[in-house]
Amino acid sequence: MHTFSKTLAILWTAVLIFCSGAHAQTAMNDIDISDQQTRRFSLPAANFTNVFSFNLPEGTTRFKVTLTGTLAAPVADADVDMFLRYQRPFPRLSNDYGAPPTGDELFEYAHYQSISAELNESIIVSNAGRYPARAGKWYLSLLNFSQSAAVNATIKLEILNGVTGAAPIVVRFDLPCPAGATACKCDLAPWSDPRTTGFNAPGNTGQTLGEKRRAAVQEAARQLSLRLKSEAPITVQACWEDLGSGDRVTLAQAGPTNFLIDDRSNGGLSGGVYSGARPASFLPQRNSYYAAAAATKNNGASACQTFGGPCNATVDIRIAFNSLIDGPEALGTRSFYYGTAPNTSAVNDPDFVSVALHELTHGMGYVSLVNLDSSDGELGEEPTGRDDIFTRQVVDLSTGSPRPLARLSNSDRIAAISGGRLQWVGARALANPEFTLATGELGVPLNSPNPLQSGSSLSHLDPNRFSNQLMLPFISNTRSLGIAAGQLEDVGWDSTPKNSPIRPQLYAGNWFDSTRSGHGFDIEPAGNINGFNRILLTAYTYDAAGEPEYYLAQGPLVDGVFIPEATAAQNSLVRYRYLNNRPTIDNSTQGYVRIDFNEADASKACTDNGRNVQGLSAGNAGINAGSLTFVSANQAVNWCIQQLIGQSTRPASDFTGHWYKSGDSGWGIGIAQSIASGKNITLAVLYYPDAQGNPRWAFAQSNDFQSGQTIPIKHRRGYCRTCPVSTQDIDAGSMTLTLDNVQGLRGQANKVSFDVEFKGVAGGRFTRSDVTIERLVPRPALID
Amino acid sequence: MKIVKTAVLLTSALSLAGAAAAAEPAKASEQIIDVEIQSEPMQMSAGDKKPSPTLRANTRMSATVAQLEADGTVTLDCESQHIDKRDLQLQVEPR
Repeated sequence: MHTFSKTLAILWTAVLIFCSGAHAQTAMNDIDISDQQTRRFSLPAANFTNVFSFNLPEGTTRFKVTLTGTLAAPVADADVDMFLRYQRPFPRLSNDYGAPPTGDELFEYAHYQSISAELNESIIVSNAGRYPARAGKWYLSLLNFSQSAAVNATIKLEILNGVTGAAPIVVRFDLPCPAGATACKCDLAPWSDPRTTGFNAPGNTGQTLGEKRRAAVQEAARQLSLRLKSEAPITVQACWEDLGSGDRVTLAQAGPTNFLIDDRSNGGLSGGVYSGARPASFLPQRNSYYAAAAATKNNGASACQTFGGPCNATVDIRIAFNSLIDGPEALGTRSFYYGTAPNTSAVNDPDFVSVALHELTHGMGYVSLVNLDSSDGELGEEPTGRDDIFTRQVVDLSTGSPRPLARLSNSDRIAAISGGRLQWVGARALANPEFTLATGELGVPLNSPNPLQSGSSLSHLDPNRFSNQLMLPFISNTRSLGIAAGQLEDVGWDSTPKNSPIRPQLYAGNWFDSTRSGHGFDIEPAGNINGFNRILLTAYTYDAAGEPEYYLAQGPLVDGVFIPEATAAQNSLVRYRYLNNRPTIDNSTQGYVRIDFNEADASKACTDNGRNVQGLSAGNAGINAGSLTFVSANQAVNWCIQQLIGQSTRPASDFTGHWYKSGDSGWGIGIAQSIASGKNITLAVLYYPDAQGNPRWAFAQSNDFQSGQTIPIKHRRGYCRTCPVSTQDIDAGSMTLTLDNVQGLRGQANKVSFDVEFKGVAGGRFTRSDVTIERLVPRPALID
Repeated sequence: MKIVKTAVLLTSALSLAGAAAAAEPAKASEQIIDVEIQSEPMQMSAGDKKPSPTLRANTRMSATVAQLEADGTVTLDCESQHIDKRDLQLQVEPR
């Protein structure tokens, strides 16, 4: 059987109800704000507004938007949020189902977000952002989450221009552990130690030991700021903690508070409800974890504004120093060296500034998330099966040609990490004048000893290649980032001007996951609203009994992501039943679907188990794949979908597309054509209702199609979306297909007759005789 | 005359500067414009938007370890990626 018969094209059915004039845009007032202008307004409780926008003039390189809310009286749930996006507006206030956008939709449209749990939000966008500051129209979405109180708010635009300055690093010496966080230990008293003698701290202007400790941390932060730029403050919680006593002790430890990824598929079912991770369009790359501080930097908003939460307690990095070091319990008589001047004495007390700088650099994102400890899970494993941006920069040369470390299997990855030939090939590190390639090198050598050292492999520089570098696997009293500066730029700290992302373009047609043959997705254009091209998606799949069924979804392609609109019941993947001779929404089935076509070939679905989709589905404007999340009937799957038939193998006179009969909604035919060995292979998928009105499909295929031909119809019994692959075809009737006018306009002589019987329990027979059909949309259709 | 002219020009400049400075507060107040807006109810509450952090990490993702040697010197090593899987996990909460 030809390849595409394994998947089956889709048919079209109740589409008419989407395309029948419901596209009129809901009128909304549009309020323009200009530079230095403040608009004051009231936002009712539990309401949002998309009315504000502004035009930036040519030459704009930086700007700031500030939302400030006040309440007539305090309420416990006071909280406003702000979203910002470039060029095209936020969703309509009422969609084709008559429902307002969900909060998730607003998040998904946002290019930048300020979502603290408070009433003050702000975003600074520079020309280094993923969506860089530039001339043109920018749109705001403002939300009031309080369920009871209206917010009196102001929104202000400031065009700043100029360039991004040094990263403001705010070290919090006053932030205890959150209440109830029993695992958290944070002793703040050492920051106020009143002693004035008994420590070594040349150059440090602090008067007391506590002051000198704080000054030493600030010196480490200053060193970072010399090389890192950020519009948003980076917040560090600094603590002391009993990290052990004796002659071998931990001096300090640090890490990002969390990692952020822009991956719409990164979620799962919990209690029967699907929850996806929040999108983060401001991150430089899709489908890759970024350390909190780098995420904050790229969002142009503080930690609490980027991740949510209260601003007095949300930080990017936590660092803790061993509170026993300066006492008799640890390291004998040795204690920290607190000098802000380098330690030139003969006594090699641990240099506090170097230790803090090294650890803070890890906290900024100089860390791989690949598991190197067998007690924490499978060696070589990536968390949630997804890349981190650090690991993405690394190649392995131990087998000769470079292999991206992130693309290896867990076992190959762990072998590579102890193979002695890991090198960092990120462009910014290679452009750093502090690094020069040696003969035979492709990049910056990393520590990859054999045997593996779980504490130091991969996330440090190679000590056999470098000396006097901050990020060696041991502390060398170095107080500058050195080579690590360029590496940090590769993991989210790049501040060079950027171009706006190129929106993916894809051809309409059948898409499928080659490992889940028999299920498929027909993507057809469905008009344009608010500047967004829209898609009608028909998903053909199987129910729990393995019988064929289909779903529909419709909505815009937003920056390369299909974000279908949701019904009032918040279903974006909709099941229709054919009742009283018309399609009716079935809200008994919860459904959700998203397809992200951005960088999908590096997504989890397209790279699992060594999968590589690059080069497949050629001819579709460079888009190889989409990462699809499909949730229905308590099953959540993430598939890598590709175009079933490339443009190059389509016949010159190509009837591929949706066909339907005007005025007779509830059924339709999806046609896919391909040329092989000079023969026209035609697949027709018929969408029709069974005796109970349930949405069903069957297919007819000719391997040498001639117009007017009669083709057997097959009922395909398949497998659920999470079950092993298994299909069985059963004779279910016949179809006569007359295709003479490729334009497919209404009134042209393209016709179909069919007689199909549903072979499942519900039974039913559905027929049409010699009816004229027309195309749903012209071909070929390129969607962006 | 020349001096006078310069003085006059200087005075004018100061006057302009003063006028601009004096006008600043007025300009600021003028730029606050009250507007009535169209808004819509949200299908989301504050509790719904909280599960945002994707991957929470513990503090000890990297650590510096000191060893006091027999000769009294101290050597320092790094222990990065010391991740406790229980602490490094995807936060998925129903909304």
